[in-house]
Amino acid sequence: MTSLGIFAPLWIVVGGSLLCLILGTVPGFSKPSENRLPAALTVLAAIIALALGETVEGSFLGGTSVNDGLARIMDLLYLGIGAVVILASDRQLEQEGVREYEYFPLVLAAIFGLMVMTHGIDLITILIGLEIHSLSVYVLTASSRSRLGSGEGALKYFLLGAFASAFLIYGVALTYVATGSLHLTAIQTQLAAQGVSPLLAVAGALFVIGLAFKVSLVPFHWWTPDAYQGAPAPVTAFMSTATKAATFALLLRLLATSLGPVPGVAAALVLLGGLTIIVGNLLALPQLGIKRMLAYSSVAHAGYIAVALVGGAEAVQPILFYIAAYAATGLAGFVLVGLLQGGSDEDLGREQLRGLAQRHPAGAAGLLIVMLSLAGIPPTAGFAAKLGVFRVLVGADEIALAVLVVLTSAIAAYYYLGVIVQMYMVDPVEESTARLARNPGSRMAAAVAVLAVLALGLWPSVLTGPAGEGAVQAQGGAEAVELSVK
Amino acid sequence: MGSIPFLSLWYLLPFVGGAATLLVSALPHVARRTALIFGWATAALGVVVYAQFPIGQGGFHLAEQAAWIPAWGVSYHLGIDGVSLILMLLTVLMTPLSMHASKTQIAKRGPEFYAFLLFLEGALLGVFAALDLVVFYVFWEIMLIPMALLIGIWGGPRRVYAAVKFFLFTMVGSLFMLVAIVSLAIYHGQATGQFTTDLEVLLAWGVPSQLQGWLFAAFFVAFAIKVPVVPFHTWLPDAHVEAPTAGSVMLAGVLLKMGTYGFVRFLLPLFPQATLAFAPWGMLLGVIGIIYGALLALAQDDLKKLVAYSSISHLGFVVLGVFALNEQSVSGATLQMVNHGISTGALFLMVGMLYERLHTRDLDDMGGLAGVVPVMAFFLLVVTLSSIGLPMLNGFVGEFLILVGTMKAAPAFAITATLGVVLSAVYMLRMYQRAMQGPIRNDALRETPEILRREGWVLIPLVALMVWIGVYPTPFMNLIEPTTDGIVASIAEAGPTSLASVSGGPRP
Repeated sequence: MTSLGIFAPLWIVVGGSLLCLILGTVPGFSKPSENRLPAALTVLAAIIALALGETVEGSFLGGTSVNDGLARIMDLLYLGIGAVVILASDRQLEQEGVREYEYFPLVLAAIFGLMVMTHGIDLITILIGLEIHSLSVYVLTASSRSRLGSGEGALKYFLLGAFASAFLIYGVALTYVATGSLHLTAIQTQLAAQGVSPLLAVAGALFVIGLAFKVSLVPFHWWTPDAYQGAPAPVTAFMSTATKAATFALLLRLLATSLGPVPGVAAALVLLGGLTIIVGNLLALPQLGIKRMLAYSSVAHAGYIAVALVGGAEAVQPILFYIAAYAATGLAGFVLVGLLQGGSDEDLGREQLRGLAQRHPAGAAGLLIVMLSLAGIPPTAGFAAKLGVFRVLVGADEIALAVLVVLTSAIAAYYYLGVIVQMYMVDPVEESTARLARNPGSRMAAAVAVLAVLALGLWPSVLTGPAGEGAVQAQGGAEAVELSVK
Repeated sequence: MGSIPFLSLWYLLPFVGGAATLLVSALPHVARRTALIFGWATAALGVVVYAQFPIGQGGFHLAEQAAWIPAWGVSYHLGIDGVSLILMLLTVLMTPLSMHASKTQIAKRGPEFYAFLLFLEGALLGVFAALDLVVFYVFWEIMLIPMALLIGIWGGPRRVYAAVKFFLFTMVGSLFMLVAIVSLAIYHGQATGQFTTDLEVLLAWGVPSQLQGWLFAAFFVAFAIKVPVVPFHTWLPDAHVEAPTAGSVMLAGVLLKMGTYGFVRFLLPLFPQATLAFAPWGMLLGVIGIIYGALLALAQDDLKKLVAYSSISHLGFVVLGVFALNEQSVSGATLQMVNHGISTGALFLMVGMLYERLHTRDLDDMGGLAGVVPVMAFFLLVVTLSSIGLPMLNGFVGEFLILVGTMKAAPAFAITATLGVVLSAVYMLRMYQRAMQGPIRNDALRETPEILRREGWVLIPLVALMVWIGVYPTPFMNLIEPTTDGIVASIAEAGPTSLASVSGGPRP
C-alpha cells in the first residue's frame, strides 16, 4: 500500500481543511454556520477511511511517520472529539461571538496537526504537527469577538505556548547534537549502544518542561484557566480533551524510545504529576465559576495521568483509557457549561445552577453524570479510569501515591458535589437564571458525550479489550520501560 | 448456568422502574403508581428467588458469571447465600413500605423521589448479590448517589450539610477499600499469575497472613463508617435527623447493614488471621458503641435523634456478635441485622407519622397521646418493645444469641453489653412514656388524628415479622446458619481455636 492510502485519514482532514478555507471565500459559505457541513463530512470521511485502513509495519514518508496501533486509536479519538466539537459548533458559535468562516478550517487543521504529531517518529515531524495544532488553537481561543477574556486567554496561551515550543525545539536540537539523529528509533539504538550523555539529560529536562506546559502540569499550568474560560465552549472542549490526549500519547511514544533511557525524565514527570494533583485540586476547590473549576479539574486530571507513568509499560493501557474517559467527560462538561453560559463574558457562577434539575431535568442529569465521572464514581468512565490508575500505582508498589490519589479524590468529590448540590438540592431563586440554550447541535453533542461517559463506565472492555491491546503492543513493543522514581 | 438470570433481573427491575417513573414524571400520580408497581413487583420477584433458593445449603447459589473487564481481571459475578438473601428480602420489603409511607409527606418533586428510592433499592440489591469485589464496589458507590439526593432534596433544614457529609464520609472510606481491592488482586496475581477480583477465587486462595494487616484495616474502615462503628459515627445523626422518613427508613433499615454485611461477607472470610487478632478490639468497639449510643439516646429530647442514637447502640450489638466469632454470636448478629432493620425501620415510620401530625419531634411537646390515638400508641408500644428486645419479639432472639455467644468468648464484654440492654429499656420506655402517657400538654394534641388505614397497612407487615421472628425464628435461622457456621469454621481453621489464646487484645 502506498503512503497515500496508509495515511488517507490525514490527507482527508487536511484536504477538508483547505477546502473549507477556499469555500469560505465563496458567497454562501462565508459564515461559520455555512461551513459546518463540509467540515462534518470531512471528519466523517476520515473516520470511514480510518475504519477501512489497518496498522502497517515500518515507517513511511521518508521514514518520518508510522501507522501503528497507538496512532490509529489516537486518530479515532481525535476524530471522535472533532465530530462532537463540530456537532456542538452550531448557533452556540454565534452566541459566543464567533463570526469568521476560518473557524472550521482551523478546527480541522488542529486535528490534522495532532494526527501528524501522533504518527510521527521523527522529532521534526512531531514538532511540525504540534505547531500546526498549537497555532490553530491559539487563533481558535481568540475567536470569540464578544468576550473580552477570549483575547486575554489566547494571548497568555500564545506567549506561554511559544515559550514551551522554544524549550521543545531546544530539546530537539540538543538531542540531535548528542545523538546525531532526529529519528526516534535511531536515537533509541544510539542510546542503547553508547549510553546517555549529559547533554541528553539537559535535552530531557527541556522536553519535560515543554510537554508539561502542553498538558498543563503544575507549575506550568497558569495559562489553563484563562484560556479555557475565554475560549468559545466548543474550543475549550476541544483543547481540554484532544490536545491533552495527543500530548500524553506523544509522551508515551517518547518514553518508549528516546526519553525512556534518560534518567530522571519519568521520575520528574511523576513528581510533577503528584504536585499537579495536589495543587490542581486545591485550586479548584475555591472556584465559584464552573468553567474555571472545570479548568483546574482538568489540570488535576492531567496529574492523575502523569503519576500513572510510574508504571512503565504496564501503565500504557490504563493511561490510554484515562485519556479516552477524560475526553468524553471533558467534552460533555464543557459543552453543557457552554450551553448554560451562552455568550456571557462572566463565567457561569455556581449559584446560577440553582434548581437546574427542575428547569432542565435532562441537562442537570447530564451535568450530574459528568461530575460523578470527574469524581471517579461508578458507573461512569471516570471510575474505570481511576481503577486503572490504582492498578498501576499499587502494581508498581507506590502505595504512597495511591493514598495521595485517594485523599485528593476526597477534596475533588467535595467541589464536584457542590455543583450537584446547587442543581438538585438548593431551591431555585429568582436570580438563578442559567438556562440551557436551545442549540440542537450542542445539545446533541452533549448527549452523545454523556452517553459515551456511561458506556465507557459500563463496558470498559471496549477500550481495555482487543482495540486497546493493539495500541499497547504497538507502544510497549519489546522494551518494557522501567520508570523507577526511587 | 443457562437458566434464568434471576439476580440480574432482580436488581435491574428497580432501575427500570426508576427510569419509567422519571419518564412519566409529568403526571405525578401516575408516576407514584408506576413506582409502587415496580416496588411490589421487585418484592414479588424476591418471593420467586426465595422459592428457587436451596435453603439449608451453604455456599453461593443462583450464580451468574460473565466477562466484564477481562484485561483487569474483573468479572460480572453474582451469587447469593442465605445471608445475602435475607438482607435482599428485607430491602425489597422496606422499599415499597417506605413509598407508601411517603404519600403525604413528600410535597415536592414526587416522581423524582420515588425514582431515587427505586435506584437506591436496585443498588442495594446489587451490593448484596455481588461476588466480585469490583462489582460490589460499583454498587456500593452507586448507592451513595440516590441516598445523598434523597437526604439533600427532601430533607430538613440542614439537609445539604447532612447529604454532603454522608457522601464524603462513605466515599473516603470506600476509596481506601478500592485500593485494598486492587492490592488483593495484584497479590493474587503475583502469587498465582492470575489477576482477579473474584471473591470465590480469592477465598479459595487464602490471603497470606502477613498481607492481611493493612488490607483488613482498609476494608474495616470502609465498613465501619457505614455501620457506623464509634468513632466513625458522626455522619449518622445528621443524616438521620435531616432525611425524610423514607430516607431514614432505608438508611436504618437497609443501608447500615451494608457495613455489617461487609464484615460477614468480606472481612472475616478474606482475612481470618487479622480478624482473630483484631477480634477483641472489634468487640471493644462494639461495646463502646452499645453504651455510648445508649447514653446519647438517653439524653435526647428529639424523637428522631433518639432513634438515630439507638441505632448506633443496636448496631454495636451486631459488631460485638460478629467479632465474638462463634456460631451463636455471628448468626445472632446476622439475625439482629434483620431485626434492627424491621424495628428501627418501623420506629422511623412512626416518627414520621407523628411528625406529620404534630409538626414537632420534641418529646417535651408531646404527652398523653395514648388517650387520643390509642391504635397508634399500641403500634408504637409493640415497636418499642421489639426494639428493646422483649422475649417473644424479634429483638430478643438476636440479642440473646449475641450475648450467649459473647459470654463464651469474652464474658466481661457480654456483661457490659447487658448493661446496654438495660439502658435501651430505659431510653425506649421513657420515650414511649413521654410521648404517649402522662397529661396532655396542650389542647392542640387533642386534635391529633388517629392512624390512617394506609399507615396501618405499612406497619402491620413489620409487626407481623416482629412476632414471627420472636416466636418462631427457625425459618430465618435456616437461611442464616449455614453461611455463618461456615465462616466461623473457616476462621477456627485459620487460627487458634480458642479466642483466649489470642493475645494483645484489651481485657476489661
